[in-house]
Amino acid sequence: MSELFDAGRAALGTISDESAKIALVVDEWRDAINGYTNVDHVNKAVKDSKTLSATMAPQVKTLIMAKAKALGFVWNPTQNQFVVRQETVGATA
Amino acid sequence: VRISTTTLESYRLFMQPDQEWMSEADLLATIRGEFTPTPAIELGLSYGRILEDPDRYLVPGGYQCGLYSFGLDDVEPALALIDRRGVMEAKAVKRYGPCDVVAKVDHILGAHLTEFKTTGSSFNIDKYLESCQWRFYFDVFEALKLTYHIFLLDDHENGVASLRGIESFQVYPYPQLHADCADLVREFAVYVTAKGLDGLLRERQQTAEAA
Repeated sequence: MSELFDAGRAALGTISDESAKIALVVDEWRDAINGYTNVDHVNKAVKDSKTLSATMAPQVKTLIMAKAKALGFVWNPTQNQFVVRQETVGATA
Repeated sequence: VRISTTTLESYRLFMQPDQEWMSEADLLATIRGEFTPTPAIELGLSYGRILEDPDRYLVPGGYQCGLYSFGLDDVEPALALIDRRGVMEAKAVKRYGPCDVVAKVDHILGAHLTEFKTTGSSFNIDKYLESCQWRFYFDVFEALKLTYHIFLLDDHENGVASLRGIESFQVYPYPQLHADCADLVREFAVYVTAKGLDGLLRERQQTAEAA
């Protein structure tokens, strides 16, 4: 029975280690994304994030989307990239 | 065909023998996206939004979101469970044959997923363990562990809700998990085709791909 507990503890330890490694990579992305100031940065990140694993990609994409929104960029499906939001000219006139 | 894990869970529940809580008309309305939230669902959505972005809903003496308000003591124990280094509301899509399954998890940190659920009734762990949602989350996010936090809420029917307790437990992936998910998607695809709703779901997929 004690061997079974040891095996269980080892498996849980492996899960924690794996998870921590992934969290570290996502943290590096978060730091980089926080520094983005223009639409080219965001579009390059969208492209680069496509190579990430199924576990990392959704986290990084969520962070990129939030940053794009905060910077006022909108997704243009025709161009397949983020673009700067065009304000309606004369809307407040 | 594009399907959410929520729709798949509705279908799974509908297919349970002797279930009485969901009519086929309700299921078909859910598949069509004609969603009418009940007060219990509204309460859960309000609580979930506060957990996601507490500062936004902070008011003197507590939190308010939508039709519901909560005291500080009814929210802070829940907030204390959330590691803010994680990402909230992460969405991912996985293809199963001709179907795209969309999964949105409440919180992810590393390979550890967390789901926040609310209930107005007593805690019944089987309800969550039997769900297909966590199985799809493991399959789609390729995660290693999922923690459920179940917040037991009392709605006093005056817009003020309180927290009765919190139940937490973990689930883990298992070898047959992907096959179980793929089987359910296949059964669902046969069902929607028989009901003539496959065209609608295909349109939804094309719209999502274009965006």
